Amino acid sequence: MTRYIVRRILFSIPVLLAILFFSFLIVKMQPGGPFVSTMGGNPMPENLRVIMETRYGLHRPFQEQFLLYLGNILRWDFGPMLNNQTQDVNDVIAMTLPVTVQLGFMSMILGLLIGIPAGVVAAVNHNKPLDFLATLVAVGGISIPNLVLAPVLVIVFGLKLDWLPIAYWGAVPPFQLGFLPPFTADFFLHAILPVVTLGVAVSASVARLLRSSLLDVLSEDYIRTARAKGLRERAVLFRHALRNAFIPTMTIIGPLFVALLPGLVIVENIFAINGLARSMVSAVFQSEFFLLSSSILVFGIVLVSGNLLADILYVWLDPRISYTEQQ
Amino acid sequence: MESKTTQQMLNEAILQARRALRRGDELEVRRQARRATRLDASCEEAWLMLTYVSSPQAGLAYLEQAKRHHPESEAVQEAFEWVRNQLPADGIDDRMLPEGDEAPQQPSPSAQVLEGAVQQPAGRDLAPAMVQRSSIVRDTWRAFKRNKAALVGMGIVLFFIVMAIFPVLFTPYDPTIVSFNYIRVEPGTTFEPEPERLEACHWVNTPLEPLCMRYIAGSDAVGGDLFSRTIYAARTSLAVAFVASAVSLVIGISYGTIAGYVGGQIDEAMMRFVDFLYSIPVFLIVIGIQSMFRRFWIPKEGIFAILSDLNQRTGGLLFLFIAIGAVNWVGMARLARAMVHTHKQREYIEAARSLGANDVQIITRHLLPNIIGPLLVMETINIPGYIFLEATLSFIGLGVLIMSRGGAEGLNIPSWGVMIREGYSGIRSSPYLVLFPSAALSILTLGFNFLGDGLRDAIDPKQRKNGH
Repeated sequence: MTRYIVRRILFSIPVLLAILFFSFLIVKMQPGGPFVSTMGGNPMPENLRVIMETRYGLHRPFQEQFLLYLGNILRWDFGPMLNNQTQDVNDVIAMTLPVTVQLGFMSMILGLLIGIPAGVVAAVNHNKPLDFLATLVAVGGISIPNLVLAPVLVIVFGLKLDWLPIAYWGAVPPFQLGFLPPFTADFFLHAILPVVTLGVAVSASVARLLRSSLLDVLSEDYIRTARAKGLRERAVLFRHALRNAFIPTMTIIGPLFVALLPGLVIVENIFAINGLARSMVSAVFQSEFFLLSSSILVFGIVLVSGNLLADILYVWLDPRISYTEQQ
Repeated sequence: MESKTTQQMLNEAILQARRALRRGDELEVRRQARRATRLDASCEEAWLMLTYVSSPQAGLAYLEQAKRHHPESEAVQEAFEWVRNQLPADGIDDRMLPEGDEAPQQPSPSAQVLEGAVQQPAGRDLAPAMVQRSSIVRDTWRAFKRNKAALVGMGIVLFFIVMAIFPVLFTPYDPTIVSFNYIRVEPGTTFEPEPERLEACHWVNTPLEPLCMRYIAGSDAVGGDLFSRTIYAARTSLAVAFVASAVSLVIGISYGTIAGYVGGQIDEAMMRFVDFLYSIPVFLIVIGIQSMFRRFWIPKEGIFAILSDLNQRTGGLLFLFIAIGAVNWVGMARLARAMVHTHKQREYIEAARSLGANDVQIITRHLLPNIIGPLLVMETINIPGYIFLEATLSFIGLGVLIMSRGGAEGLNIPSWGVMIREGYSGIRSSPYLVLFPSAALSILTLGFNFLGDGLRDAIDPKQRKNGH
């Protein structure tokens, strides 16, 4: 297993390098370089432009530039903000990334907290009204995009009922340990709508997969054996069936995590949350090349390593898979 | 040890095959008989044995070979009769019977797909099972028909397709027509259109004419008819859904089929590359590509300039097709390769090869027709994802091109994503601006989800067991 994990980690390195190269290309492809504005507005003074280009090595050959870019990233220098001299990209990322991490993390947790019980209830009550209801809700949850759910929630709970705030995140960095939110009522009130928007899709996918894998497991012989030897239904379900049914469900945690990204972009835009996903998109329109490439890079690293962790967790949990046999 | 003569080896193979036949070991029969036919193509008994252990369609092809060498043989004639009797009555048509020197026609997909499901115990008479074999399309349809949700889904999708092809029949106005006198009016409001606007109404001189003077679903921030825009936007979504699917199908299937068919180290290398692409988050790449093409990097000449121009003319659809389709083929490639791998071992491929079909013929005429059905179904399941992606990109401004309506250059096409984005700014006073496009988007994706799930359950009996 160790060997598989090492191979899996080694395999992520070219992926990360490719994302790095891709993010580099975005800065590089701008005609005339990132410091020449094509959007009108005040052009940068000539001497300042030369200084900046020298600092970021833009007068050097292509391959050298890439190595320099790599070096800057490794030294934790993501580059300047072009429209805002008081901040650089590092500051922006430090301000926005923790918020996005909180949002994504809470949504995943909410999704699992709803999805797992819903899947179990549906499978246990197979072909009964409860199962039908759960399946219907799950298909609905998958079919209704964040793009639709967010405005609808805003209209119902924010504007019509006036229960919940409809904009802004309830806390700003710095946080404890970098990302731990303040556990205040205000924070959670602000978090409810965005987190529910993102969590619904996650829970629907989890519930659907868990239901079908639990149904498969429940028709296995060893479940019949367990029942035949007189175990209580609860013991059969929790000790025998559920453990095995979880394994296929584990495989979608990684992809679901990656699939959060478009949702994050939408939710941060709709709820005016100052997160990295929103910064990434606004960077496109404000021609903040360094911010754009860095946020693509940061998201790449976070998502790829999250996927990696989920894969490793999966192998670690499933004793039947022996990856050492391969090669 | 002296080497055996060809005759000795042939005798041995025939002997082995007979023994296996008595044992009921079909696989061994096939192996030994194939060996015999390779040693001596005119060996009648070997062809007959192959026929016996194969599906009727493949059997016909084998018999055709035997007939070439033994045109007078009664045994072969008898076998022909026997095989024909096994074909389902409606399954016989002239195309199925091999002609002359041609390679055998492909067996109907049913034979192959069902073989997985209806595995016969070896050695038993295969005839009864074969008689029941029928078209996979019909089988799938039968299972599909029973699924109410799937039928509803198909109805929804068909309705949207009709609406997208003939929006003129369903809408009073063109989506680009604006009217600055009527901004953000409530749904159902009656208004007095300017004469030239009324003239452009699709429903003038029809019984529906009164609706020309009504904002059925309200008007947006520049007085455009929200109802018409919502319906026209179905075009954008469906165009992206189908073209992106086509792009991803073509690339994915070609790549996966080649990898799976060639096998060995090339397969390994090609699949490692797919794994690599699979690990890169799609959405980041799409954002990167879109921002590069659309905002920063507008070249003046060369192929990209032509593409860029074309993109402008299609209202931004071209790069959407490319970006979405080109990054989503990876899953399809994996699937196609896996299917090719299992089908490569099947007897009908072996039959085709033994009859001298070359690789291209085998792939295009035998493999692809048999694997394409399930792959199409899988692609149907991906379609809601493409629709989401288009809407999301349009929402953040990286999808269809957004231009000021009324006299702007290029094509202005409505998209639900753009409409939700525009509507959200007025959500307090006019929530309907968001609700109408949202409803349309949700209904269409719901339809595709029901349709895809129904199709998948219909072709996959294992899933069908669980029911929905």
